[in-house]
Amino acid sequence: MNAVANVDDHRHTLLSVSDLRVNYGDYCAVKGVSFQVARGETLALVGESGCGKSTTAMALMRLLSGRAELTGTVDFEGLDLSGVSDAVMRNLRGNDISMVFQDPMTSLNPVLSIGEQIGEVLRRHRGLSRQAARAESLALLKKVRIPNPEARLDDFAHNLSGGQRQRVMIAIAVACKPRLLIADEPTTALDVTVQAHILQLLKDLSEEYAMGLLLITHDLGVVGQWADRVAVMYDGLIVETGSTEAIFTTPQHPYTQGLLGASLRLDSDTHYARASLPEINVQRGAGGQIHFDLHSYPRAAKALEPDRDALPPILDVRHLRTEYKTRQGPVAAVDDVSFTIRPGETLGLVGESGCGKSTLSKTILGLIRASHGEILLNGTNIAALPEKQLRAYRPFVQMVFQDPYGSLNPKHSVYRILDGVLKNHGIKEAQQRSQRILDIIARVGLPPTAVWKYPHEFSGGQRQRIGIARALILRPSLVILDEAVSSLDVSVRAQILNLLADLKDEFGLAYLFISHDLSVVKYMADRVLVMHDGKIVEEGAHDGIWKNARHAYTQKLIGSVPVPRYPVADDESVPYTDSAWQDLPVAMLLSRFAI
Amino acid sequence: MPASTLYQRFTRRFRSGFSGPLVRALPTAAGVIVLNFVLLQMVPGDAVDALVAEAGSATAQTTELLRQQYGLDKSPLAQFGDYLVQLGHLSLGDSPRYGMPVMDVISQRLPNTLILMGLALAISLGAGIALGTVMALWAGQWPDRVLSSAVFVLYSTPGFWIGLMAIVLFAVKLDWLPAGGDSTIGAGLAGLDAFVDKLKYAILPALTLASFFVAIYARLTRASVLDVLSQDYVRTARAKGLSPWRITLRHVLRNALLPLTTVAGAHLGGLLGGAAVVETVFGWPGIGRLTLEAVQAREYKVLLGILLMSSFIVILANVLVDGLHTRLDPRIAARLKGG
Amino acid sequence: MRLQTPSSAPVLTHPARSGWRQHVGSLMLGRWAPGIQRLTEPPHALPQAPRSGWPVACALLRSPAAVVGLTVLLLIGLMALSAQFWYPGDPLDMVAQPLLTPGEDWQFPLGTDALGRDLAAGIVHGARVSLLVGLTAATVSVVLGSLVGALAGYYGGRADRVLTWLIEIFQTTPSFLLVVVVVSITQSTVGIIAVVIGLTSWDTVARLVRAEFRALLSADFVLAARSVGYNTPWIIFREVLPNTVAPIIITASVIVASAILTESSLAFLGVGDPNTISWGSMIGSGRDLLRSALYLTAIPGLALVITVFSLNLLGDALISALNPRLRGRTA
Repeated sequence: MNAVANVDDHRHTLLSVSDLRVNYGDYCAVKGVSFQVARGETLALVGESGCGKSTTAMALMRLLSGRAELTGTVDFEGLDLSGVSDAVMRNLRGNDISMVFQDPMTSLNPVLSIGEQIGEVLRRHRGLSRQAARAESLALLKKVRIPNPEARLDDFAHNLSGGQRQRVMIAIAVACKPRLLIADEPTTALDVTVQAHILQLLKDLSEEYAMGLLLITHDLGVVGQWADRVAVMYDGLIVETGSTEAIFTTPQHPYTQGLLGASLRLDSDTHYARASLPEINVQRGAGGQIHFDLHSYPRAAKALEPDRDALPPILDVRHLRTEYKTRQGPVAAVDDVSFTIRPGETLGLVGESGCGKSTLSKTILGLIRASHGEILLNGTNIAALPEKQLRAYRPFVQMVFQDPYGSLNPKHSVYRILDGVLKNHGIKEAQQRSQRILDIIARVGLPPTAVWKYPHEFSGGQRQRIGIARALILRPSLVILDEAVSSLDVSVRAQILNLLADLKDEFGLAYLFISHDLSVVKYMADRVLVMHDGKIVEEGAHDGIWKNARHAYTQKLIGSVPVPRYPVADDESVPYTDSAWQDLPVAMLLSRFAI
Repeated sequence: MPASTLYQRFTRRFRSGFSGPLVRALPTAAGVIVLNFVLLQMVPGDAVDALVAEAGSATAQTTELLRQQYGLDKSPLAQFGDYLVQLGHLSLGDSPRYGMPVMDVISQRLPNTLILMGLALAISLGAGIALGTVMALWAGQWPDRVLSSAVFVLYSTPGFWIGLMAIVLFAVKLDWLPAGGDSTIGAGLAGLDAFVDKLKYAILPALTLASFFVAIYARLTRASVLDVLSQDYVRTARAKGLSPWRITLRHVLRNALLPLTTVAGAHLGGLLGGAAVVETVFGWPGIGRLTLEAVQAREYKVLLGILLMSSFIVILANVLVDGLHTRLDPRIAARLKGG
Repeated sequence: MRLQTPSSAPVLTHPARSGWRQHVGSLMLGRWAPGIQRLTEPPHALPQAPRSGWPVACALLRSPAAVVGLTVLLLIGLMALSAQFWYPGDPLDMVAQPLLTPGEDWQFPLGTDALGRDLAAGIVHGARVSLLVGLTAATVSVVLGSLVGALAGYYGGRADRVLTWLIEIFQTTPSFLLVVVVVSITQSTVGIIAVVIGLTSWDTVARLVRAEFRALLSADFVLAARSVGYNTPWIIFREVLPNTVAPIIITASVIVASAILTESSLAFLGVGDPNTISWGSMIGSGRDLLRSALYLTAIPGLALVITVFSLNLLGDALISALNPRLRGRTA
């Protein structure tokens, strides 16, 4: 792994990191990282989750917890940040070096107003009075292009939308005109259409203030559009550095090549029917060497079988409408939606958060009652069936959920999860059940020893495999994939998408592939629907739709930056992150016992 | 800004903050009344039996007549109606033993208990929050370990035993403070002297009552502060370069103390119960000691009157705490409005 | 690419299923999907299953606090169970000269009280009472609270509102006063005291279980369970309940400790069972001799402190063991 450094000599080097290491006791998070950021330049630090990029960013500002040990040099215009005192560091933070974090909702204090939080940093570093700070905060809100800034000053974080909160965070970060701005996944938690604006704002501000911008991201699309130079990180080390053009056109390192290959882009022609995505195979040799291997294979382009169109559709949705009650009256989450899915077809459904796609999938599964319309599953309208009769149809439509952490019962082993499904559908013999369980586990690429493990012992990608196994063990005809790969890293996503395509062939499945990520849908789908505000606004073949989008919303979607992988949580699906009682310290609930 | 509009703005928010919880408390208050009535009905014998017992004996006829006179022969539902009417007149019945209405008996003693509880609450909140914050900021290091162990022992010790040991230590061995009662008898003090005198008598009982709650608030504060310290907005505050003091006070504590206000109302019931024990140990003349006297004398009206009054006090305190909480945490108002 | 061998449609037979479904099944799968693949390798045997419950026990035993607490509790439990063996008869009997200090007479190692009753016998028998009351109260609270909380959390809507109203009534009534009132209205025997203490503590369990259920029912894995076709009892008992066991256990341990303290307070005040000795009643009767015979109150008090302390140690250790996220968060 040779890091190739390209330093632009004529630009003034702002930050120079040499051999930075971060250790938490025995665990080494960052293993010797070196890079430079010049004034007015944007350096992107790219990597998947767990590679140490966020740790590096936090180490630069010495924001890591006390247990972390830093070694190495962090040279910031002549000052070695790794050695200065805490007091000096505090003077630099927010003043000369600022940071924008990933999740603006949790990064803003919920009980202080926006104006107070922006004013705070001005009063700390510029010694402004309260009124002067307030005036300056207003000016900053205007600068970050927040609509109606006067009203926003006294609002709280929960009154603002995700994009607006991130603008506020940016306002706080640039308030004192820092020389270096570190943005840690600034758009990952935001919607597609908002991302582009935020990144544009960051770029404009960095040019206006001649700041160096260190952009931390996992999204190569973002890198390609906004960064000048790129450093690729894996497992605590930088594997490749270079200008964006060099990295994208002639990547040297196999990991970079794999990442680029596995990153789906709107302008590429890859499609699941033609070839699989490259999978990165990592082997650790003796002595700590890591060997990367790329692996991909073509798929025989299946000519569309002539009789496929003649077959009746597996799923025929007609004028479906699902309402839910609010204080203002019933609101239609799904509004007059109609489409069909033919056997063996993958129908892609694209939409941003809140467009109703989750509600749609739950309605098709029978988990929510539709208010109007029909859902014809091979001719039978299941929308009108009572629960008891509906059970008989459940094996034919199954779902893979988005959140690999919430979709498996933490108290059940893999065996128990799958066994229960089979038992519930009448397979009485234990021998038969265990046979099928081993079978499906092997099919999804997990070892047989996995059956006795509990969900927390697996990684996110492995848990999704278990979820796929659960969906497929009943041999359904239609599988709904509701943002099934949205929470996964790029390389893991490639593996899962390959798996899904292979299984579709083997099992003869039809897919309803729901995602907010246009490029993934472009790769995986045969036909595409675009959903907005509960309605289907556009429909087309997987390649044509991107080139000839007719509806304004589709065009807007396509025109936005390549999409984030962690969309803002829908109101429609509440992620289960441990339980409510654990959020409230147990002692609190139990403290009423007093005598 | 003119003072009158400030006042108007404050009271408007004040009122709107409290009216919600008040309305929500009404069903609970109704339920408490029902519960008390049910308990009243469960009392063995009734007022007439007591009268008859006092008189010596009586014929069945006389007993029946007396029942009619007191309205005790009606159906339970009708009796409930009577009970409600009685409550509407702010009366809890009469107590033969004390020779005055139950309400008067209770109101005589109530202020003493409230003084004790107020003092105990102030001590426990102040000491508890301070200790808890120290424990959290030095979590895992020796200040935390020492304080946590001390707090743990305090948490495991019954209040009455602490009271007894405190009497032995401070009143007997050291003779710093009086062992019981609420004022020096026959001293005839007035004004500030009376106040200081009363304080001398109140300190040990208040400290005893506070002991358990100091432990509770210390533990709660520690857990809450630790939780807040791991939140992203504290990281943002550090990234702004703010001083540690400012971060602790303005960002950490401001959020960490919010959950405390949520549970503070629930603790009032425990404080009342604790007061019963502490007042008995120290001979403090409040409604706690009244409870014991009533139990021994089988004065069920007084007992149930105390139960009802204390439940209402807890409900009222919860309403106040809820209203306060709405003012302190802007998210609640939004949640209530938006739904 | 795997081989596709045509074969008969899969057999998912269930005698109770209607024929209509099977007809549909063969239509759907037989017509389009060529069939189910055969494994190219011979089926493996199921790998060995590890013993369950082991990791929790291990985590528990790793903390020294938990070991200490557990050991002390076991000793106290043993002492309580064998009370009749060590001190047969009624500990309230007068057996010796009054006011023997501890150590004066080796036959009465902890001394005697003002009425000549053996303190050691009182301690041993008192342990029985305390543990009995603690465990009974916790059981009553847990059973009642879990039931109410589960129903409220599962059904929501009107049932939830009614049950929450019920919970709030018990929450706002001061529990100690309620116990005193109820015990004085009914009889004051140990059994009734235990049950009544349980009846005043169930509201916390109910709130906890209700919050758990509400969170769990919106979890993805419950949705997945519904989409697989599990019926409601299955979902409640197999999917949701196992995830609520941990907080219930922790609450139970706290209730045991609190019940012991409550019972001792009742006995101290003289409201407890007059025919049974309890640590609280021993402290109560020794109160008049506070200045002269401190040991009469100090020894039973220490017994109380040690027992409750061990219970709290166990409770804290349980919190850490059953949930790694909360480790270090409580005192």
